[in-house]
Amino acid sequence: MHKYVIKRLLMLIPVIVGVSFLVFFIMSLAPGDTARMILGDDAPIEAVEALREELGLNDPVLVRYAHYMLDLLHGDLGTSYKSNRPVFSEIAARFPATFRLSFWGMLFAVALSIPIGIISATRQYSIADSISMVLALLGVATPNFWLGLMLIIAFSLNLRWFPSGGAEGWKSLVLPVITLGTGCMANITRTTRSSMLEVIRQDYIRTAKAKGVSHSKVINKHALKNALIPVVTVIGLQFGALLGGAVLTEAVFAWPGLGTYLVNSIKAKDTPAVLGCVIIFSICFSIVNLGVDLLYAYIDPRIKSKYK
Amino acid sequence: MRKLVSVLIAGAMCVSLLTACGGSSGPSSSGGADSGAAAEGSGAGSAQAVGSSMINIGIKADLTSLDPHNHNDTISAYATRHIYNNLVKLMPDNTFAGNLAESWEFKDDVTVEFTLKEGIKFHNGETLTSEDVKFSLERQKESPKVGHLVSMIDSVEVVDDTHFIIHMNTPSNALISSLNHSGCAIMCKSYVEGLEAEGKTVEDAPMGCGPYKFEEWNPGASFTLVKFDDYFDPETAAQNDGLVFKVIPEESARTIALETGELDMVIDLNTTDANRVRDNASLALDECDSTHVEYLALNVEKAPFDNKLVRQALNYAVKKDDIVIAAIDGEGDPFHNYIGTAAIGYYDTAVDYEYNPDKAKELLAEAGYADGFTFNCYLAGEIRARSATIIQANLAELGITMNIEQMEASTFYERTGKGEHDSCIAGWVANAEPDNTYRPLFISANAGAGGNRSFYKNPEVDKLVDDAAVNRDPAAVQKDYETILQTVSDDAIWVPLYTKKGLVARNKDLQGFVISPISMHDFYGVHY
Repeated sequence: MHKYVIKRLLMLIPVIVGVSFLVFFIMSLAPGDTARMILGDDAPIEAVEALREELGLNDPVLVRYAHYMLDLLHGDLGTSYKSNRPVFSEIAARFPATFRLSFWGMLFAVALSIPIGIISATRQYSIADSISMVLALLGVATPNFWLGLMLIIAFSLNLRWFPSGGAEGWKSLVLPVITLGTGCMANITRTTRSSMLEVIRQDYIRTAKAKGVSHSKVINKHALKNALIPVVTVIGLQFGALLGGAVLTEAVFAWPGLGTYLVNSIKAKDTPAVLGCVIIFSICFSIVNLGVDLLYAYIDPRIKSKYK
Repeated sequence: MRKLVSVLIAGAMCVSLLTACGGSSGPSSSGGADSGAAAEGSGAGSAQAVGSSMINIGIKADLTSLDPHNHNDTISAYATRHIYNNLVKLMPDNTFAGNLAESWEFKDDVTVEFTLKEGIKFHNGETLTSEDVKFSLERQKESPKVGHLVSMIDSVEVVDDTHFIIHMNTPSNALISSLNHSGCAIMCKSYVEGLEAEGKTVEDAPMGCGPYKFEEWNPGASFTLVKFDDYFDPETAAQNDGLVFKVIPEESARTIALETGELDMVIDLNTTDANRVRDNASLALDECDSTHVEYLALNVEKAPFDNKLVRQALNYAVKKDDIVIAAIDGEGDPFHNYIGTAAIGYYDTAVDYEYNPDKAKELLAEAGYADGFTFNCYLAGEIRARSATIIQANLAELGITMNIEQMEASTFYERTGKGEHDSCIAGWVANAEPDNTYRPLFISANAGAGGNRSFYKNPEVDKLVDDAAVNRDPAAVQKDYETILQTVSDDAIWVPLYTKKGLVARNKDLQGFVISPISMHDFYGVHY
């Protein structure tokens, strides 16, 4: 088991090299002048030239990439072109907020979607099933910036229950968590439902029922655990997507996370900042996936035995 | 299953810990000044509450730097212009008055002697001297971001504590207006040198002699300034306890935060929200003519725009009233000039081509394009795309096909800089120095990436711009600018489209705010 975890963590190295290489070259191929974006339209050409020289943008792409990787080996994510500050400290200031929002968004989604998915599956074609599936469809289809604004209008502007934005206190978490969690919730509900439907038709479930085990015990103990593998997979993938995809929610709720920072860095062609964010997201995504794989072992003893 | 639940609970506890750490400390900068007042204003749900003396201001983006020599953007300037101070200040009537400087005198074309006001204190209690000015201007000259503003300065000679002489390497009328720019902030020499000796930067603890002290910056969320009690000038001293600038990127969310009372003011209000604010009895809307001009630049090096008649025809063909409604919800005016009415250097000498499709047809026929032609229009951003749609429809009536090519801003700058476009939609916000507008927009050397996206090259105009930059006779400078505006508008190198109003929304009980046409708002006078 430990060997497996270490092996997986070592796999992060090629992931980081690959991701940074791709992003670096895509950023350098895209048209646009970083120095001009930073200085604005009204700066004289000489000033733009001077800044380009100072930032080292006149060097060949490969030279710049080599410098970047050399710094990265020393744990240095570089200096932002735009702010002239270390990218690491800029990310460190914003990442906890993004992680917090994604985590609670996911917890909200999981806490609601698994029970709803189970109810839908065990009462297939009932009114409860139809209602939850329609809601799931709406959840997937609703753009989260729209949902966010509607929640703000209802609960901040009219009812004054929650603040319309910011990240101060638990109250400010409620609306962004609902906004972010709704899309995931819909996905997880549908996956839970279909996975449960498959499991409850298995022979061992029928056997358990025939032996007189109570309905709730059959569902919660025998069926749910076996149905969880695909659900956990979806949760892992969605969590990764949440970390990188909270941009719109962050913008609507003025949430001081990495999403807005990443978008602004892309706009300014601030390569070190973009690379820093992408590397951090890749590491998180890989770790979450590793976590998901390890969870499989807890859920399914057959998988656990393979790790040994 | 129980194991799964315990793993989840353990995870939740970890996140709670992370929350506790991330929320309060993190790498946010802090000036170390007393924090009582700021905490009161920025607390969740405390909203503004009339009577509170911390003013909460909604802005669209975060600052990029707290070092005045390390940025050239409006948002960062909201912080640095209030923490630091300049030698001169721009008055509402577009003249310059002394700020830290008591007075100045041109000894000759390239020598200016300044006298500083006496007894001005920095936030750390030190007194401002000529050495600080020399240090600041020399530090600025080294900056790739704002060094160009003082490129005319050759050296600064300290005479005594309150007298110094600026020697210029070339005569320049831009010296005084540049000294008002946020990049020309005066810093405390001993303080900055002390910081750097400790291995710190100005960003870590900015300190100047402005009306506010730096309190705190939470990246991506807000920055807070608190009143400086020993400020030298009662007229521009803070009338409130402090300013909390809150970053809310989404426009509608910003307006809603004003409506809920979480904000006291919203800078650069979204035009779609203007009527909503006007209709709200507890809010007020400040409006001004801005120096922002939107225009369709015609690439005069490419056919058919190398033909002046075709360019003039386009000027007659575009219905600007419709564009003002479609693009900015009527919050501006159709415009025929090349410089915003509120800008220094604006003169009403541009040719006014009124909407007249028949005249446009005549000119096209005369130019040999009676059956129309096809051209491309590069642009970036949704608002400009809306303007382009109207122009496209107007021109279609004359048989002209305009292909709109919308792209991301950095691509737009690069491709129009290289002259790949037949035409493009761009905008210009003039600052306090007319040379900073006329030079990039109209001279040959700036064709393309320098700002002159019409690739207009006219030696006469070049000469006039150069003369206006150095001529010490205001009447001659005015004549130069009037002639330039007349010439470029007669040559019809653009189709000017509209000027956009400056809009700031605020709680109606908030007083003392003066809106700035160049978005360089001062907040020291704001109070309930």
